[in-house]
Amino acid sequence: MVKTTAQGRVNAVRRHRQLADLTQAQLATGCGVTRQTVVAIEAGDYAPSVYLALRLAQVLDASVETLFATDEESQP
Amino acid sequence: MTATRTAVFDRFAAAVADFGSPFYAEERQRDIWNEASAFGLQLFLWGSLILSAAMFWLGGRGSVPYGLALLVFASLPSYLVIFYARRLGIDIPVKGALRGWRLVAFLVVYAANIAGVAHALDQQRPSGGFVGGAVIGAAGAGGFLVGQQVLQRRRRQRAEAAESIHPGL
Repeated sequence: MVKTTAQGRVNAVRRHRQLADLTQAQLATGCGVTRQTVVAIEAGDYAPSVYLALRLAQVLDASVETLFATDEESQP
Repeated sequence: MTATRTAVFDRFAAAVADFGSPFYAEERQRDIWNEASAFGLQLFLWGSLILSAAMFWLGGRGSVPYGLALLVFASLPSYLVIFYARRLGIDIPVKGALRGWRLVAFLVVYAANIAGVAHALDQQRPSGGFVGGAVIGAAGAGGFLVGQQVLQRRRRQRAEAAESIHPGL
């Protein structure tokens, strides 16, 4: 079965947020979610829906694939 | 909730659970709330099963109607959850509810309830085994029917899986 949870995955949301010079609260406001949700996404504790992932990508001016790579894609 | 469902039951469920609340709009809040609800429901079910068994064993004959009422009351939300999920194509009992140690624990508590009823009924009327026997018989038959349902569903799932592997056959 394909894994669709965030557990054990790393993502580039934190790096892109810092590059965009945004706080977690600002990113959360821009995406219409709570700061706790941004914290959970950055920590890899929560896999956002496709719509939230698109919204994050839009606010961070990145692609969804850049922010959330699959296991295969994130291999060095 | 994302899907628009208009049946009376769905509207009833939406009204009871307040699915229109802005709280559900934040997806992680919704997910966490779902997890918390599942935890609460499971705790309620297990607690009710253990409490009823304790009532049967400790409360004597007079506790039997109350214990059985508790079991019926506790089973209602469980059946509603299963019914709700099945309407949306999720078969809870086979795919997720009772596996591994949970199945063993359920069987232990189930047996404790049956034995508790028999124990309570025999406490003050040793020769009056008819009601106790009827309860044990009904519980045994219930267990047999549940087991049969589970086996039938597993057979059906295996058949469906085989069909999807060899769609042309």
